[in-house]
Amino acid sequence: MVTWAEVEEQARRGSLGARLILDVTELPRSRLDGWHRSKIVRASVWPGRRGMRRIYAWSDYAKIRAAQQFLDRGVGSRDLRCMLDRLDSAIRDWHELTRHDHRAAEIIRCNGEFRYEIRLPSADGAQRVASPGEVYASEGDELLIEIAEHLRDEGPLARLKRFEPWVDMRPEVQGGDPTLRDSRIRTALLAEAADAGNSPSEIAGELEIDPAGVAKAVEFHRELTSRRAARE
Amino acid sequence: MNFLIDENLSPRLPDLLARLGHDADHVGTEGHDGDPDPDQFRLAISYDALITSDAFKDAATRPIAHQAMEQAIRIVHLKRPKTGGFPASMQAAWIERHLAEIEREVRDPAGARHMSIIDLGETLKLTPPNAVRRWLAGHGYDGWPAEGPGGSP
Repeated sequence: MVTWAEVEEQARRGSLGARLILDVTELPRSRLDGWHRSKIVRASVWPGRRGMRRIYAWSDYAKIRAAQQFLDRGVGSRDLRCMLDRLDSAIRDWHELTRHDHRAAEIIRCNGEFRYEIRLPSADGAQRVASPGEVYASEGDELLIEIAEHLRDEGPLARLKRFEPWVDMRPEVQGGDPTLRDSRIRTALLAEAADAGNSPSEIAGELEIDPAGVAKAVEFHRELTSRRAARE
Repeated sequence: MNFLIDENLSPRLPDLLARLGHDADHVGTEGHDGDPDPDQFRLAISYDALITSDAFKDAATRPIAHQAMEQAIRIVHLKRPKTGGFPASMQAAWIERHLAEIEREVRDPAGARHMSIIDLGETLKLTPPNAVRRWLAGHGYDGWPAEGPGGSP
């Protein structure tokens, strides 16, 4: 019998299909496949098989984006695994930085030591340590911090950040599939309703939500599908 | 029966269902919009079924849905017609048309785990396909029932 703790753990992990990750990151499929096969970034929720797509955890998604950033900054493919390991050991739970609610997080180098912590502002204006610094980084880790900060600034939508006021991705909601902000309504559902001939105001009227948000969510989903069409 | 209506369906649905003699609450009007999946499932426990038009059929959302089914949560998937499933009156009509089927499935004690998702119009019984079940078993999720007729692809 699966316990509630396991249900919650699964929800925290998230479950993102390979196709969604390709759509959002615009990574070539061959590269994502190669990283999975060579275990640089494996699909840890479901490894996939013929006819069944791979499923990635939220932390895998963050790793894929970090690997992409390393490549963009001139790190060679052969060094990717090593750099991702260094990122893991330098900043505990760094993948949490890609969540929208970590936008205000700071990565602090503690007391002159080679130790980093993720600090989040709390409601009373103080800071709380989201990720106690139990691990130590090395000299010359500026690139790691730069990439972690870049991912934090990009937020969950990566290169589609401009839709962030209306669209969110959270691992514990619909597995991390894009949803209308502050709701559980998937952008795919709204796009499907729009494609069936319903206007954003009609959809918004039925669901009693903001029409502008519906229009933007539909636009977001259409951008994803146009990327997919161009790729396939 | 007592239904919980998911956020992706009209908040007017509870009123329409009340006219058919059923109790229903909408996730949004209950203040649970945007809730994480486990919170949604916890809420659904106290209802006969969760009615949604966006059931956890996608491969990526199956792990969490399967776990919810282990908790004996009944999910009624209101399959969207070509109109996108709007307006609310159409949603209510669909539920009314399939009410006997829903009631039968919800009341069936043998269906507590593997007959939890009722896909209106197709009467699809969503169970983990063999490959997923083997993988789940390898990760400590054992005891999944054998795939029955109409199992998920």
